[in-house]
Amino acid sequence: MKTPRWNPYLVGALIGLLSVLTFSLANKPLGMSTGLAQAAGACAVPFLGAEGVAQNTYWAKSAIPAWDYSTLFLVGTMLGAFLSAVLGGAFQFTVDSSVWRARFGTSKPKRLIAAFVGGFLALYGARLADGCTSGHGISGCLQLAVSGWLFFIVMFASGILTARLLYGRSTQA
Amino acid sequence: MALPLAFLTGPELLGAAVLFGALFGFLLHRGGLTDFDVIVRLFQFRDFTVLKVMLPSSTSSR
Repeated sequence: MKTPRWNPYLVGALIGLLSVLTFSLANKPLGMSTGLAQAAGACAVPFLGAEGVAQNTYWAKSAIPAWDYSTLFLVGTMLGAFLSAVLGGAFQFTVDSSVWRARFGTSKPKRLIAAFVGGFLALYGARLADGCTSGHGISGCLQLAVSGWLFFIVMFASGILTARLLYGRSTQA
Repeated sequence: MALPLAFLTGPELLGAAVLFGALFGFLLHRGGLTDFDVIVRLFQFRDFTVLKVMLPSSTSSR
């Protein structure tokens, strides 16, 4: 079951225009990782208490859990992607990936653990860099921010290296 | 010089956050950028969908 894709150049142009809208109407870049850091803070509330989270140096700086713009934007992205999948008749619960299957087989736990570790590393790096593929890669690059382009180049290089290490030269799927 | 660009505040801003997020998520999904295989194949130089989406997004905004 394949998602009905739109022309990638058109999608890119529309994301650029959406970015103009969010900057001009809300003074916000397109970005996801702040919302995720806030969600992580919310997960820590039962252990540290709301006070403890608010006093934590990291969360206090930019990511105190709250139903604010960043969090709601993140919720919105999930709703939008869900809507796109449902409207396109492509929605399904699955952990399958043809590239992964060709290299690592069909074990679900293996794939889920790898996804968790990968997600952990990606988000840790994104927060160290103060932005993710959306924040730096899209919003940073389109402002011609040096940090955005540097992030993009290094992310690309490490992606190539990681894909080579994990999948080797020959995996074709 | 920084022009005051944030026209939306309060509940309107929060509503806009959901709407903007939904548009972004919809576009990412339709562009194929939510697909694990697309991302891995990019780094194997076998599928350039991600670049096709990101490069115009950086130019259409100016």
